[in-house]
Amino acid sequence: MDLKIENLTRLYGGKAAVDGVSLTLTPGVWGLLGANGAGKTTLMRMLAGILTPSAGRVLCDGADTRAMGEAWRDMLGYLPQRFGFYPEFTVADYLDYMAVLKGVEKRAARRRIGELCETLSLTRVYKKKIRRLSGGTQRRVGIAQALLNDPDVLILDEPTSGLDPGERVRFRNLLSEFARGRIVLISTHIVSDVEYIAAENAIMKDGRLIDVGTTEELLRAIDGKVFTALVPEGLLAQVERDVRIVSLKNEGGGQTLVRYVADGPLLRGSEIAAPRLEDLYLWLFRGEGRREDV
Amino acid sequence: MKPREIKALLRATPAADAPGVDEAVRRCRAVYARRRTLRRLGAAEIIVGQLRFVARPVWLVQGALLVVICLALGRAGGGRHALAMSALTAVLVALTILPFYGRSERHGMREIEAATRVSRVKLLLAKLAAVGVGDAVCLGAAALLTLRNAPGTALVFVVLPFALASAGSLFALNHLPGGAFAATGFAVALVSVYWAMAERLSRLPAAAALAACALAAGVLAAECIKMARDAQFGKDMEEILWT
Repeated sequence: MDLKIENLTRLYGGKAAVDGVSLTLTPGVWGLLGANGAGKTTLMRMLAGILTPSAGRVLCDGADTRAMGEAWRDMLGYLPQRFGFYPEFTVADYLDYMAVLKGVEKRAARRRIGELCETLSLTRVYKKKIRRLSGGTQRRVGIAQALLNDPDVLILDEPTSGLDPGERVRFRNLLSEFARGRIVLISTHIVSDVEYIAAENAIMKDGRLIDVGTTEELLRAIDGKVFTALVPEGLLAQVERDVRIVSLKNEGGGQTLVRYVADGPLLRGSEIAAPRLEDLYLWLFRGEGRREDV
Repeated sequence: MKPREIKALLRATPAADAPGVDEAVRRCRAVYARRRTLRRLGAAEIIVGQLRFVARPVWLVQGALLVVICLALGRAGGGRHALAMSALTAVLVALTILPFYGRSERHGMREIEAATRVSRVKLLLAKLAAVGVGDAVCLGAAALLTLRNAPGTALVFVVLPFALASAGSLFALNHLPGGAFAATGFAVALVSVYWAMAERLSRLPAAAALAACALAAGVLAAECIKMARDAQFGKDMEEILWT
């Protein structure tokens, strides 16, 4: 099974939110990385068939997904960035409602809902109103609805936002298992989630796809550009201004261990460190974190 | 597999040369391997099945209204005030659509619903059917009580104000910014006219009332078609997503 994105474009006014994206997704977990406003959400909405592309198409095993209609939506699980629900709905109501909309037969839905509630730790809150649940639990309900129809293609926009570390680990494990023979596309700002589970990554910037590859392949771009150095506290403010810092760690004794990305060593005593996806993200998207996402 | 799905696959299948046939075989195998073991529901089953969720809040509001209608009209007796009360009831029944218009967008459900198997048109039809069934029950009760108090006036004091209020409020919701306020304003104006002119309206010829009802029904149908078209082509969807 493959999902081929051909020259997908979406214009708003004169501006391209997604600009000629071409990519072939194969079974496995795909990470979609990019700063806010890079076009990730717009791309995902077009893949999910809820936004019409200005140009281009999406082919599932050669068939145009727009022509496939219901057949495509049967194969699809989708969790949008903004998870909504009707205020009177309990978790049970919500999942039943979504099962009906997805056309899952009642008995099969019951079984599937039971399995998902078990896996996503929703059994205890099953009869509770969703609006009374924490953000993380609401997110898990959203993930459960996306998985209800046992989809072949799962599109998740920021699925881990609001989840605590334990929930994130469980979710990552669930997805890794689920992705066997299926396509899972995840957009997230939490780079470590993608680093752990994504077999392949696609990086978007200004509506365009700027790189695609496995984490190892992508990290080659910043090989030898990630450094660590101990910096005295007095110099820290200046270093923060001048250097692209990934992380800071207080080492005691007035020293701070600084991890940074640069073309070459900028601080005295710098040592080369093994690059991580977070380093690459910062290298590519410095200063782009404040724009609104589309 | 459904005929529509087969057609979609055949449309995408290359011409029948040797490599094309191999490609078609490969795709058929891929589709077969992906075949679903879950039994799928038909469109009618989907609509009926989700009425439970769509209709429940609508019918709760309409049920409460029905109680008020019965109490008010049961005590009204005959006369001008009873007729005006009937018109007020019919307008209130028509306005029960207001809290449910655009509810998916307000609660952030539109995107999730749009990505499911049920098309937005089917979902809209289910919602309209749910509202319609409740409206019919409420109007039936109002008409019975009105006929008991003032025989021969149900068309002018129940059906006509309902048709006018429905058409007017849906027009306002579909076309005007702040549509809910405009719809409420229109309803208040309509009730005021009925209250002030109840005597004169009670002498309105049946043919004129029928013509007015037909006109209002036409506007109502046009507005329902507009809603269905917008749902089908997703114009407002894109605006909602972008804003």
